[in-house]
Amino acid sequence: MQPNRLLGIIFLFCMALSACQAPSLDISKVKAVSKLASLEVKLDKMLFAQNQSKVLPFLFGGINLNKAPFIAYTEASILIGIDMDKLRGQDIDISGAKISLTLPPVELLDFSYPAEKFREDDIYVTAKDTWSMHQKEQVYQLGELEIREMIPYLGMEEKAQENIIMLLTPVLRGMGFENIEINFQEDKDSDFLKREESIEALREMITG
Amino acid sequence: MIKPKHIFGGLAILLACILLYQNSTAFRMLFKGLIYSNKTYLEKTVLAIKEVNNISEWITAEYYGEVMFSWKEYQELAKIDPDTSFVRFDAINSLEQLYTWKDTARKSYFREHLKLSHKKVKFKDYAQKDSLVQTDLFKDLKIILNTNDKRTYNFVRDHALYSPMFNKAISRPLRKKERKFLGNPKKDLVLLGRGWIKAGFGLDSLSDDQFKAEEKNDTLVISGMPHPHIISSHINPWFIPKKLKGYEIVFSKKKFKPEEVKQVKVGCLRKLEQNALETGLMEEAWKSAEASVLGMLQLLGEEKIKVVRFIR
Repeated sequence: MQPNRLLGIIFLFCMALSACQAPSLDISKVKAVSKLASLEVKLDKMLFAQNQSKVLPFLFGGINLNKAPFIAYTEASILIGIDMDKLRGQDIDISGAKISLTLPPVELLDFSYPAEKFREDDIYVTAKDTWSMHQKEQVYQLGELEIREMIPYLGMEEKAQENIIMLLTPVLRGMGFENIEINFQEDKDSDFLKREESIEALREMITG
Repeated sequence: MIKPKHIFGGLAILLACILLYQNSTAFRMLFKGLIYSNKTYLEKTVLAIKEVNNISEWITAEYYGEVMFSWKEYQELAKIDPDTSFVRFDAINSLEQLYTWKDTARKSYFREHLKLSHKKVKFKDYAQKDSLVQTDLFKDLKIILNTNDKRTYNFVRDHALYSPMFNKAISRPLRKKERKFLGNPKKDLVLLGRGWIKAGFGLDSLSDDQFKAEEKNDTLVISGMPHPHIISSHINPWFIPKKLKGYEIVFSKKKFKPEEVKQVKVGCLRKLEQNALETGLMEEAWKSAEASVLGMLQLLGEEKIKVVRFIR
């Protein structure tokens, strides 16, 4: 093949591969919501990351170059409660002084994993300078995903429901209702509620 | 026989490969997959529950957006307000560690800031030397912090910046570190941050007597409402998990310490909070709360009430 033709093909290849772009937000927005948070849980997570570099990975698994650990202590904070916007007319049943409420299922309202609470270890690991800023950011991203996967197994659902009942009961009594019954919908599609599978799945997750 | 046109062709191909590697993510991935691979993975560790708090917070408005903040911007702010400087932030941070981990943290703090990890020196010898925070200050702080009284600790922490004792203790090493810290004009880091700010009301202090229905105007007035406040503000590593990152490194030049990167990230968050307030997050929280109460009343069959008004 002539060099000019080859260069032309490479150029077109260049253009095609450069077409991918990372997504980005186009607007910022304020929106009205109505969410009742009844439980705040603070979590500690130690991130222990390894970085495996290899040359010619396709050749019998490749040649290992180095393996440097990275340890960071992090904290996450979650808010659990209900989204009142999901309450519908058919969820409320009033007869005289009796009210029966079926509230939306308890869900994760807020997840916070603040960078100011990240603390890199320097007692047990002394070779942390081999980790670049991008790699450390990747570790924190993996950490967040891992924490999110484990949240449904914390078993905070009942506690959050009790708190909501304790919060709403005086308000409804103030409105003149004497007989108050509050229940919660069960959202079987939700990832948040995994009571039945919790212990077994948690064991699998830890042992891998 | 190698001709000039072959050399030219080879150089052109090499240049194209370099350009592709720099500009094309897909090509980089292909190269990395074949020649070199680098994988980061997490070992399994426990997720520990540190605290469980019963709260009654009503979130009525949310803001999401993206901001950019740079190391140079942070330095400009530090020049204007020395209280935001890196060294003071670090000293305050160490107080928090002292409260949580007592002597173990104090020793590790000294080791970190005096950079003694490679030397075999006894801690007590260095406790008497000139350091970021003098031993006498730590002795006094330890007496206060050992009371295990969170309110006292919070007072010391919040007022440390204005405490003559604290400022005197850190003044000389602070000036030295700040001179070093504000130098190196070539160093820069620009981060793009995407996050959420959520505002609403605390419902702890509400009671029955605050609700008053004005029958003439079909209005329900709720007096003594607390001001809306920011319930949660965060920029997480992921904005949308697995799809959109919370922090993106736009540009970085020279090496940055973890504390310095943290300062830029905190700067991003503060800027996002400011944008949220300027966009009218608090006003929206107020209006949304009134609309939510009206909607709730109508669901409960209170059709007489047409307007809900909050009064501070």
